[in-house]
Amino acid sequence: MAAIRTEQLTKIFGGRRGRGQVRAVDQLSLEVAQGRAFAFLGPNGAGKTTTIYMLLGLRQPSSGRGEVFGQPLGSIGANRRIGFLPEDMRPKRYYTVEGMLGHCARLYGIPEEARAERIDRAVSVVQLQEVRTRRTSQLSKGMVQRLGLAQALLNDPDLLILDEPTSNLDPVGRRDVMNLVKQLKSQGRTVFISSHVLSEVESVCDDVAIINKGRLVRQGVLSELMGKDSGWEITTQTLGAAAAEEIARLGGRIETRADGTTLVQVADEEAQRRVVAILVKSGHPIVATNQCRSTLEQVFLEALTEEQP
Amino acid sequence: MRTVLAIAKDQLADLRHRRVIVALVLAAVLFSVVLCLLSVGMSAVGGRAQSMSELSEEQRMDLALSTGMTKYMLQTALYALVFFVGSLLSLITFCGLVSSERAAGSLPWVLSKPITRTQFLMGKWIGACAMALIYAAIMSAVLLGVTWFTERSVPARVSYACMVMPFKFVLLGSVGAFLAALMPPAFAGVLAYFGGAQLFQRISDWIAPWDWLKVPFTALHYAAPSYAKFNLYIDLMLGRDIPLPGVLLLIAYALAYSAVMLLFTCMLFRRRDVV
Repeated sequence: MAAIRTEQLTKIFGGRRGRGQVRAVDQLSLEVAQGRAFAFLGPNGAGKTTTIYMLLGLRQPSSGRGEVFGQPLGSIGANRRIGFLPEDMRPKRYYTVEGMLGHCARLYGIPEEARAERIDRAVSVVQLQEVRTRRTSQLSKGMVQRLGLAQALLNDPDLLILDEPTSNLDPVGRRDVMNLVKQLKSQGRTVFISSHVLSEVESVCDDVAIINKGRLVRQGVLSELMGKDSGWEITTQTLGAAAAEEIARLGGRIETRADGTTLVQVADEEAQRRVVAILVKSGHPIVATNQCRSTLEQVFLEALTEEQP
Repeated sequence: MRTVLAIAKDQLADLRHRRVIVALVLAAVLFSVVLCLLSVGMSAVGGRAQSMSELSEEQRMDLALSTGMTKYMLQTALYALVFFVGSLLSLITFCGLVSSERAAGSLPWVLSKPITRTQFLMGKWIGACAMALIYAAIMSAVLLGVTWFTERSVPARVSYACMVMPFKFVLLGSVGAFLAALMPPAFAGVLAYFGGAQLFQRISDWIAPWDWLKVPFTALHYAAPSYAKFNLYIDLMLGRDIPLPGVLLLIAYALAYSAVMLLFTCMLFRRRDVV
């Protein structure tokens, strides 16, 4: 069973008779497998937060359907298994950190005898032990974000939905959050992250979906998307004329570098194997061979550019 | 039920920390004290006049009557003030049940928890009712205290007026909460306050020459809440008795009407985008 599945999920804002309507999310079909870290990317106004709100039942889809762990979106059963960190976490100002988490624990229906232990655990995971008796109005932005994470972890969720989790955090905080995501993933939990910081997402996520103007433009396994169509590089010390001719016949591009080494670029893995065989046969020492991978940023920008009319 | 009570407790904590609400309660208490002092002053004037041997019997009677009337008027003014501030408080709290949470930015993380919209709204409503009850209890204590201080006894009509007070607030607030689900809270508050049955009756009378126009207003007259019955100032001013069955009927009416309003509000809120 998928952690999240949506079919043709659509959200339209605005006028009823077509005028002034905005399709915030347009026929979005997603599938997020259990135990994976899923990156949900898109430029500002792409419909990421609207999609998340529909997953949580905070907004009603105009059409289409979806489910979380096989339960309808927004149902008690679905939300019981979700921990959610909103993009703009705004705690109630009159609570202390502990008081706020206590309130959340009551809303989750955590039994009183287990509450203190859960709060202790959540507070220590996000490292807020020192300020647990402080009022939320006296917390820094980074601390508020950590508090948001703590309340999302309180119910031991199977699915953690994080909307811009590292916004407001300093580099140390960002690293901690990403480590936490890795840790949760290793525990078999599903993490759904919407973020703008692509380098961070790249380091922790397994799968990715990119949306633009409400439409899904790219979805797949992150390593495949980044490795796709990007070719291979083989570096050798020297290259004889015969070997160069043979490589050129395979469609390889040869480039002599400033340090005297020669770089051979080929399109796919099969060509790479043949080039390596040619070099070995002709006695040319191979310095390195590696797959050229695009960065997530390149994949992201490419996906958006392809969408432009 | 625990979830509902947790939300109610949170609502009460939220209201307790709102400056405008604290300011209104303090203002009401302050004015009550001022009125109380005025009332005591009037009693003193009455006392001095009665001791003046140079006044005739008739003059003394007139003076006693006028100071007695003034006491009633002060009592009524105090009641009216308490009533008005309470109504204002109710409208602020009930009309903002959802909008205040939305403005505070806490709706996304609160409603992402495993709670139904009905539980959420019920909890907020109970919290607001508790606030109205607490305010009514404080101000009733002040009103009863002032009455006892000036009259050396508490007539049944004053106790009954105090009993009715919180239910009027809940009724008014519930209507406001329902209207706030349909329009901006400020409009909802104004409409809830002025849009009672009497208003539609007056409009209906005013447009009497155009009979066909009267129908919707007559319907609204029957559907809208009747606040006038709760205005007990006249009875207090004239020192008129308020019968207990009438008081109980008013309370039952307020509770029934509020329950219907709450039901409608829940229905409106259930399948709506909340963020």
